[in-house]
Amino acid sequence: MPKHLPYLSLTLALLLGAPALTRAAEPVVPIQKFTLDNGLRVVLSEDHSAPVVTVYITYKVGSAAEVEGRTGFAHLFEHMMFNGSKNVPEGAFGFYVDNTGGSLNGNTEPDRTNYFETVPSNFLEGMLYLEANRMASLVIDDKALDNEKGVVKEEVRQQQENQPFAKTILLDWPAAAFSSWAYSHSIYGSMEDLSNAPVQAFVDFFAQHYVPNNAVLVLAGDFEPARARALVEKYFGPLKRGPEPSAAFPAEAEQTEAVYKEVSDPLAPIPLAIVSFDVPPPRDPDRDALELLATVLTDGASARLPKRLVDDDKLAAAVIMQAGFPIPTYGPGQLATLLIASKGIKLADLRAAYWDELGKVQKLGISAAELKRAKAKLYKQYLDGLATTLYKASQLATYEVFFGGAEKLSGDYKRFDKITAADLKRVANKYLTQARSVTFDITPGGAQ
Amino acid sequence: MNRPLALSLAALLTLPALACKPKETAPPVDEAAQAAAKEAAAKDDARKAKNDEAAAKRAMLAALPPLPGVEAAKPVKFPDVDQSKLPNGLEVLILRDTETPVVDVNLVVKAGSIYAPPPTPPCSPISPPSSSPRAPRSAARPP
Repeated sequence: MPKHLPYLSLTLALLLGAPALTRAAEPVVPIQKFTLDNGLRVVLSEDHSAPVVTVYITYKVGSAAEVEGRTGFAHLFEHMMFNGSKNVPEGAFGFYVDNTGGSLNGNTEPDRTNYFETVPSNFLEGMLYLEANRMASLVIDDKALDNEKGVVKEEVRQQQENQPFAKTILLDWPAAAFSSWAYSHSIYGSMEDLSNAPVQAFVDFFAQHYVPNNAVLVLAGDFEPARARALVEKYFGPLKRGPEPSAAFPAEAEQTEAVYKEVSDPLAPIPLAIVSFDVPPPRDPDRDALELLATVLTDGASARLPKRLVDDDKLAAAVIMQAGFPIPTYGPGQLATLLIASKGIKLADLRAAYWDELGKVQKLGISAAELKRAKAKLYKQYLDGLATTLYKASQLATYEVFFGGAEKLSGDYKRFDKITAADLKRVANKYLTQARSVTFDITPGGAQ
Repeated sequence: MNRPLALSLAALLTLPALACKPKETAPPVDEAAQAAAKEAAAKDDARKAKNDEAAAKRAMLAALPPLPGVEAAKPVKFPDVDQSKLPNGLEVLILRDTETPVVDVNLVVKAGSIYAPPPTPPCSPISPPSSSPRAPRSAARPP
């Protein structure tokens, strides 16, 4: 091919306006799915663009599955899982993954706990071996528990007790925003509960939730599917099915009266207001409209809230509006706005301007140009979500566990296409009301 | 007993007493120093135990069997680069990747901070001569 041809063809394309002005070819996320006899659901997504593979396991257990007096278990297990199992001594999991040059991590949410490794694809079998081992035979004894309880307590001291706003965001705000005990208690749980629980309570928690029929395994990356399937069957096939998991999400009572709280935070460098609203679960059509509206209002410097609050009125240093803040729930959720005040600004004044902007949307709606820009932003977010094997694996797991199947990921941005400006005005009036709001004014001060 | 003899005997008797005195009244025990030494020794023991444990763990990890099924690393297939130059000298590199409908456009200008002129020093490193018209600092101070 002559060297100048790609440049010419690009120029021609731009001149003709064809691919530049219409949506490009549909990105497809190829998947194959199967379920083992023990109930483990497996999603394979080939991607040979680089010789790497992500192994991603979601266990459908999080802090919402805990019971009173036994909180903090879900997060503790996120740590315990990197300890020893029958054939993999303590410290070996991280050692093995480090030596591949790859990376690993895990995270805990109210509705699930995730574990993932991204490694050069020639280590795929090794990762399946490690994951299957800890699912089959995690060591849960006094020594391992004491060690990880210490680590978790230190994490809580660092992340919850010693970060600006964190105590309010992680403890006080969920307690006020969610009505169900399951969603309103802290993800870290009570350190007292962790200290008091007998070893058997942890063994039982693991036996109930860390079972193949409560998990989804996703492989995304460079592998040959038939061989990957054979390896999954080899390592996970012998595992025994556990108790049948519950599919129910916590029920949330509808809020009918505004909640307002003031908090002094000795670590806070500046005042911050949180204003949150009860919203439906992810992928509910109204939730989609609310997420699109949040994008209209805050995404980009020209969006309404940054323009008014930050640029024009200089009331705020920043404004963030996010559904699923700070950690997503897959049952009923919250749409939260964080209003970070400029120096010398009273939170009441900042909130008044915020409500004024919401009022304009409720009364006058939004423009076609704003809607188009927000949809373009969400489309780009969708494409960015397919950029790496880790992003893809994470999304495929989410779709398989919560959104009706991994196959629904391909092209799912289209669900925003049919949402109209009228929908946004309607959901603004239905959900973004004073009566459904929870407000926290956090001001610097108070005893540390 | 005459007096000088008595004195000599007394002196003799006294000498051992004096000689023994330091033993009886050994310098008071510095309990704080002893406790500190004991604590330091305990810390040292703990550090050694921790080091031993870490060494044992390193040895255990080094002796682990290899992960099962490790294959030879696969080669990275970097996309072909189509390189050209515009008549005005602009170099153009095109890498085709159709995995997702996204395009990155990067313009790299071969100019960085090393081409910036050196900053002008805020004040001369050499003191002005005494005949400088600048007023002495003390005179500039408000009364």
